[in-house]
Amino acid sequence: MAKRVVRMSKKKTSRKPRAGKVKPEENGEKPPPPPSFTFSVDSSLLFQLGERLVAKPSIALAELVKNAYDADATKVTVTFETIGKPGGTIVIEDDGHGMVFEEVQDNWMRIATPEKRRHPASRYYRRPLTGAKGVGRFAARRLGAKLILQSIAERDDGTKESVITDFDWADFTEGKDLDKVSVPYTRQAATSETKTGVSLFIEQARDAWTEDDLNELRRDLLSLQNPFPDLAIKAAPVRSGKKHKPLSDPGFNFEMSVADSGELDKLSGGLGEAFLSRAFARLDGRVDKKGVAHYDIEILKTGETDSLVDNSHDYKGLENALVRVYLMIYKDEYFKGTDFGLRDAQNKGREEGGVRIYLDGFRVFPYGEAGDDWLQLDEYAAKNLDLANVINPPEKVIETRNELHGRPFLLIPKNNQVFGVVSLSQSRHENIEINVTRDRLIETEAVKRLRLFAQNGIYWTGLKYAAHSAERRAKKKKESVKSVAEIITDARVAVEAVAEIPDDQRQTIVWNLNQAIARAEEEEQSHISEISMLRILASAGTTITLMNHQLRALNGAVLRSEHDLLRLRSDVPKKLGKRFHEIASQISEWRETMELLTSQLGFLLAPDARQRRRHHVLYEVVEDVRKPMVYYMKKFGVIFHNRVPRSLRTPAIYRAELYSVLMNLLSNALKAVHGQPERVVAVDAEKQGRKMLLRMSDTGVGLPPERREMSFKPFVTTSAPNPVLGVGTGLGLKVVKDILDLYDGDARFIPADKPYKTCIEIIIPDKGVAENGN
Amino acid sequence: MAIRVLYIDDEALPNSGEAEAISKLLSLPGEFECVLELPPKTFSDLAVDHPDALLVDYDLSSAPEGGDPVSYMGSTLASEMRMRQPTVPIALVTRLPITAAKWQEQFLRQSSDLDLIIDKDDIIRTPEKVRASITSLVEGFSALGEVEGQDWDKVVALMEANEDEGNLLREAGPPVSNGLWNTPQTAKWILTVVLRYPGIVYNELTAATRLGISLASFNLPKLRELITPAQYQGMFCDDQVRWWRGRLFNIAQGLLLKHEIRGAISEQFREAYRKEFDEPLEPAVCIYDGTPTADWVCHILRAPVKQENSVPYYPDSRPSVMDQARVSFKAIKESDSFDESLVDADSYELVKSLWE
Repeated sequence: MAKRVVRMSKKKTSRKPRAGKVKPEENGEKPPPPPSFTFSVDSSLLFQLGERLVAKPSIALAELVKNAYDADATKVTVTFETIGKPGGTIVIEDDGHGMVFEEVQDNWMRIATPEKRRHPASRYYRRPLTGAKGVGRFAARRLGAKLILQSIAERDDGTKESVITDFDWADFTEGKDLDKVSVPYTRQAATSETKTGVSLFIEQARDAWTEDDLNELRRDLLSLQNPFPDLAIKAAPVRSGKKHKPLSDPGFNFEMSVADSGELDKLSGGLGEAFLSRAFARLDGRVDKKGVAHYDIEILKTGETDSLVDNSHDYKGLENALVRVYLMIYKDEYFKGTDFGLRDAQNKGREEGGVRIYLDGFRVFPYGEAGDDWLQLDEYAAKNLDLANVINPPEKVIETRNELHGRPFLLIPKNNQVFGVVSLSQSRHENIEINVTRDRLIETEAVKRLRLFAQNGIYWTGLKYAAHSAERRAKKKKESVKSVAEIITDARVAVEAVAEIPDDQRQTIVWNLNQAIARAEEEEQSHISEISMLRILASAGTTITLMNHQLRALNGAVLRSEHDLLRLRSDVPKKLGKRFHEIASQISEWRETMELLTSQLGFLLAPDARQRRRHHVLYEVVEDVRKPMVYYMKKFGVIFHNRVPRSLRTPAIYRAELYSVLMNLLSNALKAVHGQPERVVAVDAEKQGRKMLLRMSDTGVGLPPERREMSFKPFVTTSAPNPVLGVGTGLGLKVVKDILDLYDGDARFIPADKPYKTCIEIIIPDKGVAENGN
Repeated sequence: MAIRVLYIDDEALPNSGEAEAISKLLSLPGEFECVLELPPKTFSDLAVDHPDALLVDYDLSSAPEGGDPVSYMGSTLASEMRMRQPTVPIALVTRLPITAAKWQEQFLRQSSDLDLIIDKDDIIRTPEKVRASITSLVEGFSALGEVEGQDWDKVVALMEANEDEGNLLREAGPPVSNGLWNTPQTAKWILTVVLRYPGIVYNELTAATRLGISLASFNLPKLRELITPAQYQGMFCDDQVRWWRGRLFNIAQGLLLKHEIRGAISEQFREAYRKEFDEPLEPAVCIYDGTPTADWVCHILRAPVKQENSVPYYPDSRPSVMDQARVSFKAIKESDSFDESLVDADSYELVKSLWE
C-alpha cells in the first residue's frame, strides 16, 4: 500500500482582515469575543463518579461516614431497613454542624468542589478533613437509586433551617446535560431545639444485604478508625478562615443497626486488648523530623526492651509517620489461660492479621485486609527468601541476623502474625494520597519509603523472636541434661540461702541433701556404665546376625561333607570301617550342635520373638534354652533336670524376654557348678494363685547371703571366670530384674534344698497383659 | 526322556562349592539333568530353549569372581520367567534365614511365581526325594500344559475325579475366572489346596484316623490292596500320596454293609475288616487320653485325637468344603505352637480352663 505523505505547508498563514471591512477598535467599539467552546457535562458522569469508582458498599459507606466526621459529628448511626433484598433503605444520620442552604447549593451541589482544600480543617474541632476531592458524596449512588438529603444547620444569625433535597439518580441519564437535571428541594425554618446534622436516606438499595454482607460491613466499619488513638497524628496547623473558636474534640463514634433485629452494634474499632496482650512483642516506630526511623521493641512476656535507630535509610516526606505492630506467635504457651484458644487466635490472624494504613484516623483499604500483602511478608515467606535482600536493614539488624544459626529469616512473620497500624496525615504527608477510587494509595516514592519503614521494623522484630527462640532452645538443652545430682545441689544451695531456717535444722537438711547428691552421683555413674555396656551389646546383635548367617552356610558345607562321606562308606575298607564310623558320627554331632546353636541365636534376633506377648509352655522354652548348652554340659559333666510341668504356661510375655531371663539364670548356674565335684542344675516351676514361680537351683559354690542383693546390681559379678562362658558383663541379673519389673515380677535368692547350694526364684504375676504387647 | 532342569545360582562357577554340589547331587545320568548357570545380566539374556523346570537361588547378589553382581533377587527372576514361560515350573532353592520374619517365608510360599520352595539342606540330605518332587512338578505342569482349550472339565478329568469329586473340587475355589484358567495357578491350587487340606483327599495319617485305625495298620498290605481304588492317581500323585475321601468311605461303608455292621466308620471299620480278612487292625489311639478310638487328627501334634478331646482350630484359610481343623487338648496344654487366637470364642473359655 502506498504510503500517504502529508506534507505540512511551511507557509505561514495569517489572518488578514478582508479588504474593505473596518476593524471595530478603529471606530471605538469593544471587539466581540472570539468564538469559543465550553465544556458541557453529561449526566453519566455521576455514574462514573459513583458506581464505577466505588468498589464495594463498605467503601461507599466509609466515604459518607467520613463526610460526617468532617462535619464535626460526634456520632454517626447507620441503619439498615428491609435490606434482605434489593430495594431496602439505608439511613446515615449524624449530629454534625449540617449545611445551610448556601452550603448545599454551593458545595454539595458542586462537583469537585475545592471547599475542603480551601478549608482543610473542620469548623469546630479543627479536625483534618478526610475528603478533598469533592466526589465522596457520589458514593451514595453506589448504595441506592434514590437519595434524600436532609440537613439541619444553624445560620450565622442563630436561626436554624432545614433543607431537604431529593435526588433520583435515574434522572441523571446518559445524554442529558448534568446542569439541566432538576433536583427538587424544600427549605424551611427549624426550631432552635432541633439538633443540627445531616441525614441521608438512601432508598431503593441496589444490593440485597445478607448476614455475611452485614458481618463483612461490620468488620470493615469496625476497622475504619485507628484502633490506637495514641497513634493519631496531629494535623499540621492551617488557617481555617473560620470565625469559630476551636473546641476540644469529644471524639467520633459510629453505630450500625439493622432494623427489626433489635441490635445496635457499637463499633469501637479496637483489635482486642486481651488478644494483643498475648503477643510476643510490640514494636513502635516513628520517623523523626530529619527523616530518620526510630524503633522501640518490648518483649511483652519478659518486659525486655530494645531500641534501634535506622541511619541507613532516608524517610524524608514521612516525618512524624508512626507504626505499631504486635507480633503474635501461635503456640499454646502464649494463649494459656485465655478465653480464646490457639485456634481462635489463628483464625483471627487469618481474618484480621496484617498492617493497616490509617490516614487522618481513617483506614485506607485494602492495606492490611486478608489477602493483601503490601509489605511482601507472605511473598518472601512462601519463597523462603530473605526479605533483607530487598529492604537492606541497618547494620545492627544484620549483625543480629548473622549471630543466629541456620536461617533466622524463616521466622520473619507473615501477615497473619502481625497486627499493626501505620499512621499518617495528609496535612503532614503531602505525597501520600488516596487515588480517586479510594481503594489504594497512589504509589509514589513516599509510599515506597513507607513500605520500607514498616518492613524494617517488622524484620527486626522477627529477628528478635528468632534470637529469643534460639536462646530458649539452648537453655532447654542445658536444663534437660541437668542430672539428679545437679538438681539436688540447686536445692541445697537454695536451702542454705534461706536465713529463716534454724541452724541445726539447716545442717540436718544440708547433710541429707549431700547424702542424696553422693548417692545420685554414684547411681548416675553406674547408669552411664550400664548404658555404655548395653550399647556395646546391642552392636553385638548385628555381629551375631552376620556370624549366624555365615555359620549356617558353613553348616551347609559341613552337611555336604558329612553326606559325601556317608556315600563313600561302601568304598571304605572293612578294617577302617569302625574308625570311619567314629569320624562320621563326630562330624554329624558337631554339625547338629552347630545347627542347634545357630537356630537358637537366630530365634532371639528374629522379629517374631518380640512381636506378641503369649502364654508360653514353660517346659519347651526351658528346653530351648538348654539345647545350645548341650555340648558344653556334656563336655563338663553337668546334669540338667527340667522338672517344669509339661502343661505349665507362663503369663503373657515375649518369648525373647523369657528366653533372656532363663539364659541368664542358666549361664550363672553353669558358671557356679564349673569345677565343682557335683554339677547339677535343676529347673522347677509351679503356679501359685495368679503367680508363676520358677526356680533354678544349682550345686555350685553357693552365694553368701550378704552378697545376694548386690548381685542384682549392674557390674557386680559373683561368678569366677569361666574358660568357655567367660567373666560375664555383670549385667545378667540386672537384666533379669529389669525384665521382671516390666511385669511387676521379681527375682530373689531363696534357701536351696539339698543337695543344691543356690536357688534363685523368679515370680511373674499373671496380670492379663494384652497380647498385642501393650 | 531325561528331565532337564536349569539351576540359576550366583555361585555357579566350577569348583565354587555349594551350587555345584547341589547340581551334582540332583543330577542322575539319563534321568535328571541339572544345568548350573550364573544369573543373566538382563532378563533378555534368559535362555531361549525351555527347560523342564527352573530352580533359582533366592539370593543372587554375591559378586562372582571376575564378574559383576546382578541387582535382583531370585524371586524377581522367577516372576520374569513365569511371564515368559508360564508352563515351566519354578522352584526357589534357599536356606531361609532364621532371622527373617515369618511373614517373609509365608509371602514366598504364597507367591504365584514359585511352585516349590526347596531347602538346600534337604537336597544335601535326601537328593532323591527332592528330585522326585521336581519330577512330579514337571509332569503335572506338562499334563496341564497339554490340555486343549479352557475346558475345566478336562482338568478335573486329569485329576481323575468322578462327578461327585468334581463337584467338591468346584467348591474348593479353583482358580477359574470367567471360564479362564492357567497352568501355574491351577498347579498351585492343586498342590496347596486340594492335596494339602484334608477334605476331598486325605493323606495317610488322616485316612487312617478317619477309618479309626493306626498308621501302622493302614500300611498293612491287605488293607492297602483293599483301598487301592481310592488312591489318588491324578497330577502330582507320585510326590503326594493321597486317597479320595469319598471313595475311601465308600469302600469302608461297603465292608460294613457286607457284614451288616452298623455304626460310624471310625468305630466299626476295624470290626468289618476283621470279619472280612480275619486280621486285626490297631485302633487309632487318642493323643490326649491314650484310648481308642480317635477319629480326627490334631493339627498341631499331627496325631489322632478324639473329637471330644479337641476343639475347632482356624490356622489357615482353607475352603469350607474341606474338613475343619481341630486341635487336641494335649496340644492346647503342652504345645508352644498352639496359638490361642486361632480358636473361636466358644472354645476360648475351654482353652482358659485347660490352662488353669
